[in-house]
Amino acid sequence: MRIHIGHLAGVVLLVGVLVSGLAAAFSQSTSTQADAEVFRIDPVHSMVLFRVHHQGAGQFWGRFNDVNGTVLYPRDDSAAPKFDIEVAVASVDTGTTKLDRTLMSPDFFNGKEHPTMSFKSNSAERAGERVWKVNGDLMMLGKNKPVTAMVEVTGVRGNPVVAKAGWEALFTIKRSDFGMDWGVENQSLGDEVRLVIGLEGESGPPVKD
Amino acid sequence: MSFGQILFAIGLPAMVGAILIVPAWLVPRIRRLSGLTGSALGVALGMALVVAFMAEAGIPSLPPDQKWHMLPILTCGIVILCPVVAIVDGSGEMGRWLISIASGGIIGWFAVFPGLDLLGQILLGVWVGISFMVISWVSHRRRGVTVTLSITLVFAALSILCMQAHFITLTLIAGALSATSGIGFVTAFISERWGPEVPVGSPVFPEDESELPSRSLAIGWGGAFAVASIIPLVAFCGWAYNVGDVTWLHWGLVAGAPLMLGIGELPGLHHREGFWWFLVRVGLVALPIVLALTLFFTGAGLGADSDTGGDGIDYMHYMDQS
Repeated sequence: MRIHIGHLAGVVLLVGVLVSGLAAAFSQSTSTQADAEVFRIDPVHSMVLFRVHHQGAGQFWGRFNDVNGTVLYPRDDSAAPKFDIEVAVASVDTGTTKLDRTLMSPDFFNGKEHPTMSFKSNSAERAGERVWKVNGDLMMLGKNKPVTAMVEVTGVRGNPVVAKAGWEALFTIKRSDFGMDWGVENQSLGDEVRLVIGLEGESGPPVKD
Repeated sequence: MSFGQILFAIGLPAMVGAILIVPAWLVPRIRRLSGLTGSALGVALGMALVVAFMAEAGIPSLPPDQKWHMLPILTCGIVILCPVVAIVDGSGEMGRWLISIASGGIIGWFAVFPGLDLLGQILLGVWVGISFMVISWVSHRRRGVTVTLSITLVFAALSILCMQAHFITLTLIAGALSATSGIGFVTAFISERWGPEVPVGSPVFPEDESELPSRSLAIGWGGAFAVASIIPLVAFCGWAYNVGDVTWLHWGLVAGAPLMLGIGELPGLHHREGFWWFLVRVGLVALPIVLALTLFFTGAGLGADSDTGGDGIDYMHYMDQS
């Protein structure tokens, strides 16, 4: 039986790739501390909810639908997640088009001048199992202010190659700190805004749009 | 926003305006001082704008936190320069051209609103310059009642457009300017009917304006300077930040409406007097305003300038990805 030298080389190459792949996967699953992976934010399953006191009466909720960015995070929670998030102001959604447009005006988010808001974390401390107290800078209306968010890792799921992870962040800001003063003095709209941010990210090779 | 809050936001600036206009136009001793009389409306409008801004958005920072805060900052400059312009009132064609070019150049240079490129800034500057040329010319030929009623309508229309552009503070500012102009109209009307006599040839009425009745009151170059500067500034600011369905056509028609006052002063029409001709002159200004509002509310004209329209498409886009 004659074996073509080209076929033999192909088989050797295939076996080599398989062995090295398995070895890499095995070493990853048995390591004590996983490397941080880059999770790209999935804008479809991520949102920013905000809540503000209206006319001293009801709590009014709205959301931003277009959330993008990355989270650097090890699947085993051995280190804190690092957030670099950007929110498109034009994606504000209150369920009422007129109100959405009013919120885009210079009295509020000034979408024409500042089309995005962002959050970048710079430090964190563990507050429990899969719960982190994350410090970072919130940039809104062109102003950077430090904020602290309580972040819960809501889940991690996947295989050695790709994974999905979720986070929920809660924090409160004073919008007047960012120069959004409308209605604060006459108390027609509250100054404190509670933010609930739901994020889902995916690691692995980039997904085509 | 409650009715009381709206009343405060418009009423307080208008009251400040009234404190400046009423004595300057009705108290005989003050009225003889051309600098004060000729700048009263201009200073009142400028102060009303600044007070209305501060009532809503606080003290404007320098350099401005947001680009539109240049509106009150530039208006502070207008308030300071108004008496100067009023004092040089009647200095001839050269003076008029100089003020026109300088005011247009400065305002066009500093009013850097979002989306306003160099061409837009030049357009704003030219608009201010032409407005001053026309309104200062009219101010020497027409009584205050015609001009003040006309600009009352213009500011009221700007307020409506700002509301449709979803810009609350600018809506209130334009409303306050309309109320202040309205106070100017009432004061000018009282002055014309029952006010003190001002001899022709006095600084208020130079020799070349001997055609004006001695009781009547003109807004002067000071008033013309403020009106010519503030109307285009508010309109361009509203256009730059528009997130509604208001187009450049609507803003342009309203901001250009005061120029229609010039038609009533053309040879052959200038000497037409009386109530009906007063109505015709105000009607000429109202014409583009009515056209703009009709086009807007009937949905005719051009498509929206706003890039936030198309909610249905956005909604479907998000739904598709779920």
